[in-house]
Amino acid sequence: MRFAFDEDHVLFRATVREFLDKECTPADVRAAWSSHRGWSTDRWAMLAALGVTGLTVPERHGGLGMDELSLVLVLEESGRAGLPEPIVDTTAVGAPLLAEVGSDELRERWLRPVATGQAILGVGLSTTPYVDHAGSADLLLLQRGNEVHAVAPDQVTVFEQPSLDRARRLASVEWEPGAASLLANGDRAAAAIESAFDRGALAAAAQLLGVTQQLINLAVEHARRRVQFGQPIGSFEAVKHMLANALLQLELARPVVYRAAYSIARDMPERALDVSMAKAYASDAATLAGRVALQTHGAIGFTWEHDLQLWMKRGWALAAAWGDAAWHRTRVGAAVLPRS
Amino acid sequence: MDFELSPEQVAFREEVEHFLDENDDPEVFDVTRENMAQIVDTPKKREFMRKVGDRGWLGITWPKEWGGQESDGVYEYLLNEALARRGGPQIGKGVGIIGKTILAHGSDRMKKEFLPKILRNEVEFAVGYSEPDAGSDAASMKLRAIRDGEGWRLNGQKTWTTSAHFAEWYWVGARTDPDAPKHRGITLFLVPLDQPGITINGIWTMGDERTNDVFFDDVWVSDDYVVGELNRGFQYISEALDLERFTMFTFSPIEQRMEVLRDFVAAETRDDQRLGDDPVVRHEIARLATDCEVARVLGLRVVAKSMKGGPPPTTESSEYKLFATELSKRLADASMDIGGPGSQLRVHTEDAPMGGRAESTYRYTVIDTIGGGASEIQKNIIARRKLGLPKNF
Repeated sequence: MRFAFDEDHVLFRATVREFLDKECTPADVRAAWSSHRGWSTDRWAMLAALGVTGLTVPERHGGLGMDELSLVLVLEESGRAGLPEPIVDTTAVGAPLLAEVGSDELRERWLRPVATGQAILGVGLSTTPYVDHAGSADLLLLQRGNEVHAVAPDQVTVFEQPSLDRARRLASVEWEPGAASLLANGDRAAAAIESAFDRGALAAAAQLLGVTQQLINLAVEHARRRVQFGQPIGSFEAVKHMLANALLQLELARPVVYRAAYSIARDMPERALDVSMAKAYASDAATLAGRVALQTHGAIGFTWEHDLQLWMKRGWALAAAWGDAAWHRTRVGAAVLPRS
Repeated sequence: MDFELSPEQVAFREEVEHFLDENDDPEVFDVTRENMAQIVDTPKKREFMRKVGDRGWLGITWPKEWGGQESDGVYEYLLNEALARRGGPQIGKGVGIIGKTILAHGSDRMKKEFLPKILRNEVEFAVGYSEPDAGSDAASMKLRAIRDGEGWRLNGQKTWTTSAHFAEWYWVGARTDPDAPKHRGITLFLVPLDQPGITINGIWTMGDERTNDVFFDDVWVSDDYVVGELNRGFQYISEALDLERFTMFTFSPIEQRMEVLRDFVAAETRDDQRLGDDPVVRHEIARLATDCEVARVLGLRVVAKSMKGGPPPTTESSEYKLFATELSKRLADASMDIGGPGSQLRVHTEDAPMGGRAESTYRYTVIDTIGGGASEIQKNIIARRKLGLPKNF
């Protein structure tokens, strides 16, 4: 038992954090809201140069071939920065899914551009019907019943579904499955779908840790600066306890999210249970932190001009994506309390 | 990052379980006494703890020089959790708090006198921090110690000293410098409890256990029994409280109550419907099961951090204490609620659901969010130390 990340994980995290602090400021996140595609190809290319987009791509396809324990800290940082780029769908879910069930030809064709940041992937499972950045994806990996398909953008119709976080462009996708697009069916597809879903839920949970951290950071900074009744409001126990509660929820979520990453990386039998516990917890932590941060800020936090909304909305959006807390608790219930 | 126990650790856990099976005794183990089970207050429990000491398991993490094995803290954790799961005495106070503080700050003379006795469980301690006017604000304690010859003369009162009526030694904080800031004028003493001038009065609790008021009337203590440096006592107490928060509030009793509740829900039928098929109950169980897992991992994180030999994992242990004790109460609430009308029946009553665990848990766990630093104190610690928020207004 060793509850610490390896030094190279920690170093990589620091590199990504430093990059995001410079290249993904609140102003950049805000800019994504009004931009054409909702994310920046330049920033994605720079992330590729750091090795982020190729993290999960096998080495023979030009990637780093690393596992979820390497990815989870990077995802956490992407949440802290509010990164608009499709790191969850492309890096955390799409690339491993394609590597798992794609034909040799498809892998050759797509994994290298994914690693170099020249292509992004969209993923649509029956449990995640709204595909993030479907309109700008270069290849869509879609579930239909018990089949996995790889579909080109010109084979689908994309219906934008405006959602509360404009830096995540959600869409439903209409398409016709065919023999040409089929990647897997039967047990192989079922296993791949379940694994893809668990990777997505873990990734969203990891991003939620970062979102929660940022919400707390914003609130704490405000509580230290804002003076009322002649004192910084952070000296009031009522404010302190509210913030300590939010931090506690984050500290509780963190080890279970890391443990879920471990379970996926090692393909442990309790993978689904661990992932569901992690996602339910991270969703609740972000939701609570959002409310606490707004309460701490007072009315200023409710305005568009304040950055708080960017992270509150990301928190709400991710809490609802890849299975909400109630969905995951139902799955936990099924694992700990089998039905009669 | 690795979440699994090593083969050596698994083997140790099995060895402990085997030992506990061989020494199974209802007078020593009682899961329904919840948190108070850890007290070594009867001859049978003393005998049992001496056997644990004979195995070399007390002070397993201590330096070899002082009779320990210099093992990782995880072994102490595994032992304590195994003991707690059966409702047996635990290694908390003597080894984890007093022993570790003496190791860190005590004189050689004090080490030679007390450490071997602790390792063989030949001595019981009582801990005296709380006073009627100094509970959460522990640094405001008033018990007065005035210089007298080669020692000190103590006058005043302590309260909530649970072990005072059967322990031999009293680990007690007293004010030695009334003019210093309140955190800097306290000294820790070891006082024999059979001294003239000490009066112990029992207080009975909702959990049916005894705790005590202790009165000091001109009690003399030699300089030999001053722990560490004069006027540094509060620092030692704070360090020890950080250790106590995770050694005293073990996880396995929580896990066990969760299992009792889950098994009850799985088996019980009400209005022709199995409780376990009720979606509201299922969600409650899922939520509590997740929280239990979180508490377990959080506890392991504290253990892992303290294994590195650095300073005690202070905020982590506050976080664990805060969450685990609040979770205990929520489990008690859920057991009362889901248990139905029978959950008010006393423990070991024939008709009581879950063997009466609902009511016993309810009575015993209410104190956990007050003792060892109330939940509000833990939140203040987290807000100050980890969020960097200013001092209380």
